[in-house]
Amino acid sequence: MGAVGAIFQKELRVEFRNKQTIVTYLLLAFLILTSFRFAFSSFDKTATEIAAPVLWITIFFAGMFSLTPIYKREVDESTKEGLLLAPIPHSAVYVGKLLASLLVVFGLELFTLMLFFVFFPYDLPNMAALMTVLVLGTLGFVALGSIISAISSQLSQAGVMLMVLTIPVLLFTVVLSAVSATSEIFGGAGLDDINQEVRFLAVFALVFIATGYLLIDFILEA
Amino acid sequence: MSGVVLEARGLVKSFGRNQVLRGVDLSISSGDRYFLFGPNGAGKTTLVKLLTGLMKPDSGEVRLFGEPLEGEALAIRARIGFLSHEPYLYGELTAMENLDFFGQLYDVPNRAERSKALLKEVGLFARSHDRVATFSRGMKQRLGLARAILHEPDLVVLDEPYTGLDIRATATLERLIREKSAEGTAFLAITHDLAQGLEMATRAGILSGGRMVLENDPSGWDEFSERYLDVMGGGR
Amino acid sequence: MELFGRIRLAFILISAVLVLNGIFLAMIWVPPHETMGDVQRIFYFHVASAWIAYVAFIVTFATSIVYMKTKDLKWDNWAVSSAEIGVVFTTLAILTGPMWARAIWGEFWRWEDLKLLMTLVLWLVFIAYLALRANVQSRRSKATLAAVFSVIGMLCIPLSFAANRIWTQSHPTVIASDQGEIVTSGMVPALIVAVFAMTFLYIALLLLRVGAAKLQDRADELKLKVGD
Repeated sequence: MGAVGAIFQKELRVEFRNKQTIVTYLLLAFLILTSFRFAFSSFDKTATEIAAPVLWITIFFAGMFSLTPIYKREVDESTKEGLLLAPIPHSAVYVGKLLASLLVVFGLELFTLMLFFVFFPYDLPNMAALMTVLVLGTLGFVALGSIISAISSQLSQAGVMLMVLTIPVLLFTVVLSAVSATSEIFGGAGLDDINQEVRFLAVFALVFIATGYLLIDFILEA
Repeated sequence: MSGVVLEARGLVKSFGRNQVLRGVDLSISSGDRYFLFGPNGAGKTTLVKLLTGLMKPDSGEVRLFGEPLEGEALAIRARIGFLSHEPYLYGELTAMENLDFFGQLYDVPNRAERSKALLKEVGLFARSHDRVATFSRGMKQRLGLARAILHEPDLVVLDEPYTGLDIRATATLERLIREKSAEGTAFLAITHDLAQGLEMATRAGILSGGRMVLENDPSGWDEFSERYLDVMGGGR
Repeated sequence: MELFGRIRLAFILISAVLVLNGIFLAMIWVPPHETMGDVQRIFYFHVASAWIAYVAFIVTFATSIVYMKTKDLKWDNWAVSSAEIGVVFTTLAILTGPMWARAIWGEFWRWEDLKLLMTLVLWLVFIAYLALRANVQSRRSKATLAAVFSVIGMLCIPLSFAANRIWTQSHPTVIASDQGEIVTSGMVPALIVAVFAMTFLYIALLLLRVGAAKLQDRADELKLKVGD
């Protein structure tokens, strides 16, 4: 567990030392939301149908962008071999990086959420339900997204390939389910009304945390 | 501590169409300072990757400290130190943070004390809290050396350790190698520089065309030098 | 002739006979559908292609798992061959579906329809798999990373099925999918022949493609010897 902690701490230090990286993620989330606000400017502002897709698509793309360098920078800085030589199981690298990414993506989501309510002035929905969906959905997409980030770090055109590989597997699973739950929440539903989605998101997160834990060896040694 | 630290038998490795190693044997005992020479493309770096477990051989076996190097082999990896031309340091972190991170990975006791002592040893104590990205190549290489020996490994592998080193760093490196090998640490170093290498070595070998063409100890340095010039002059 | 070659030839011949037979049954022998007319004939090709899409995907997944266990590149050859053929059949299914749908439903695509969406997801996963392979240099890395991705893809197919089920339950849309899908005489035997024909065609193509991949590996080996 010491190794997981060490990697978690190192990731956050690298991420936050250079202010421009984190600012770029926030800026991207801001710009995506602005684009949506512009695209939907002629729509009825009280219609809740567009709320959930706008929120999740912003989170998905900004989140994926922040996952791109997680493994890529070890390759670029030639530090990957140093990690592989250390006497730690490779799964510790996956888990340490996963925890750090989760923290960054959660921060990004809170920022997005605040902006969202400024741009789209809905009444506040059931926040407990919204936060549950947000947390579980994020667990799932960061778990799978960081596995694919490890794969794409070894490909040419890493950034584009991360999107090409994640959209087919994430859009119709986590994003779809999260959008489904979130639009019900904006329609006035509480936690009880969305328990199917919540269960799905929890299962998805568990499946891919386990998958990453088991498959990271193959990816890092490829 | 004595005895065989590293033993490799019949290592073969190809990359696609290119067979880089064609059956290499190597044995290193504790306290040895083994220097491996060879022209570019002779397979030296590939050999090092096989010996440290970064790559798996197509055939042949590597044993370290009497154990086969298979799977995760965490206990074996904890006893190896490695310095290549890449220092494996994070540019965004300070010198101290880098050592602290690797100290955690290698579970080094008293790592703050040990890191400070090593920073003094390699002459970087004054820059402990500066980001490594601001360091010169020579400074990074010195810090890389501190990183490689942080956990007091029993075998230290140096891949082209002299490239990019300033005079001061070279002196530090050579002093550390002599001190540590006197304490029983085994060294395996790869280099182009024959004169500098033979001065340090207790044993040496020439790798050419994927095979070990000659191994010798100080009594045979003259023959060794001649043969090396042949190999270098005649290409592969 | 070696055994592999003989088996391959047998499959090519059988699939040729079956495909011709299937075309005859679907295009001429079966009478026009009572409500849908001749457009309904697309259905035989569509269903058979969609079936092969799933078969090919499962074969890719299974051989990838064996590759990860054995690290023998021969299994990777099976995986990539099946994926390449699979993407062709999935494309066929995706193209023939809207042709039928435009005539019967009056629109090319229904986002609410689970079957359609699943075929689309399958197609995207296949394409991502091949795009991944195109972006790796080393033969080994290509095989390993692609195998890992096929495992992820395989997990995601049932998961996106489940996610879509939940979605359609909570956002009910009117689907008139059963209209006119009345089985008329001759449809069942024609469909069975079509499915068998496509299956044999898939196997024949797979054997050809694997043979080609094997030759490629052999050629690389020989080049290595020449360079020695």
